[in-house]
Amino acid sequence: MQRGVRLGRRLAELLEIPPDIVLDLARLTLVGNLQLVLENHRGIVEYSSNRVRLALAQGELTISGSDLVLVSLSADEIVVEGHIGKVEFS
Amino acid sequence: MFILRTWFWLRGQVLVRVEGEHPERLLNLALSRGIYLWDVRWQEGRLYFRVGSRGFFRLRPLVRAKGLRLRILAKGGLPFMLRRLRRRQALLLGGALFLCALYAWANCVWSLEIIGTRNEVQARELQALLVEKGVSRGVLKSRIDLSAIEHEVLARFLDLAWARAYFAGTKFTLEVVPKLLPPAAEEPVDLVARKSGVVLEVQVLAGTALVEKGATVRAGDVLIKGEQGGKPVPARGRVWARVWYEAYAEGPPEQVRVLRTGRTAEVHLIRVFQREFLLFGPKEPPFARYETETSVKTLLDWRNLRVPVEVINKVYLELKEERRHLTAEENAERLASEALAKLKQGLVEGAEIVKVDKRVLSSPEDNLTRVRVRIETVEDIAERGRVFGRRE
Repeated sequence: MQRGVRLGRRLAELLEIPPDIVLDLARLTLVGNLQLVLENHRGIVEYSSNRVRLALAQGELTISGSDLVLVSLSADEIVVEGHIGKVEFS
Repeated sequence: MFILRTWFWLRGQVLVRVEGEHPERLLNLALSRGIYLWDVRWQEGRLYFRVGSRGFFRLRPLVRAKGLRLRILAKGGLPFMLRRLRRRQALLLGGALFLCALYAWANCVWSLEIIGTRNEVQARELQALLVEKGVSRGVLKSRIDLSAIEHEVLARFLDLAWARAYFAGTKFTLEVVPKLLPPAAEEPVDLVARKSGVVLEVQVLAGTALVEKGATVRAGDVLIKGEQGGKPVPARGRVWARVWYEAYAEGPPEQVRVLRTGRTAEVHLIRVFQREFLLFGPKEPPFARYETETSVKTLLDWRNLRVPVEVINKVYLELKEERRHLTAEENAERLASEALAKLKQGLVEGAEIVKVDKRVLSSPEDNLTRVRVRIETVEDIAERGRVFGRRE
């Protein structure tokens, strides 16, 4: 597994392909602390107004803050808005 | 995202509230079934979100299976609006009436225009004809017979060569073109000398030349006689001659020029209808001698809409007089060019100056300089003389 990832990353660097495509990684876009767009997710683990846990291909993403709203929820993209305090991978 | 939202608005959408244990489980279920949710919000232990009406019906069995309670709080989108509208017949009727009225009014004439006629009287007569033919404001366009109007105009106004009536939107336009009549036959006439001079060249187009190259003529002499082969004709032709003009100028050796000093004062005014109000700047121009530069800004100038409010920017520029002492030569040169300019103004079109002679007249004790300028030109001196009747 680790070897595969390393090889994939080398390949991505060599061919200048974005690594999220080669390695099936999540792509995050943060607009200040107001909006977070997550592409390539695997579902919602937990949701409340001050904590959102999202499943990724490998591991989890935890977003803490306040007044968190899932503005858009579809199979390939999740948009979270509100006061984002912390973004954490685990 | 905007397109997606518009799509769901068109298809209908609902705002729902989910109650029960761990309502967020529903989110994952919806995701895995490909049901699009948005504006998901967590408030006081309850989950609120929006979902499309199709999605809602697919979601309902899942909710039941999980032991949750689902409640619709609001319905939105086009299908619901239409349903509400069906209940409000009066509004629907009003809308339909409005559309009908708009359509009817768009089929009427709301403005008239007559293009092409050059005299006022004829324009008024054309207007009267239009009224007679039933063209006026508010008349249905279909009641107006355009080709009949065109024919009538041409039949009644013999000096019009062409007429076209047409609609552009709600505007009726009548376009006419006046006939160009050939000039009236000319009466027999002689060509006489306008000025005295020495003839250089005679070009006769009609008539008989009475002078030839080298002849000296005086103003009023007949140059080309209006007669050809014993018949009276209007004489035509050109007689090129050398003509002399003279001018005189005098003046003290001093030049007065008006210059800007560079000091300025700015005034802003606002004009509402015809009244002007001072925004800022001095009330009276602060200089004894000045000129002004004005620029007007109109707020809106679009088609025929005009706001009667204008902002006027006025700049006062102070002026001063400057006196300069000139030498005798400079003064003579200045006076000569002034005199020459005056002479040139008086020349007829086509006159060519062939010689300029400037002479300073010997000045007596006083301070004035006197200059005489004499020029020689080559020009056409032929001019239509008195019309004579038929001569036997």
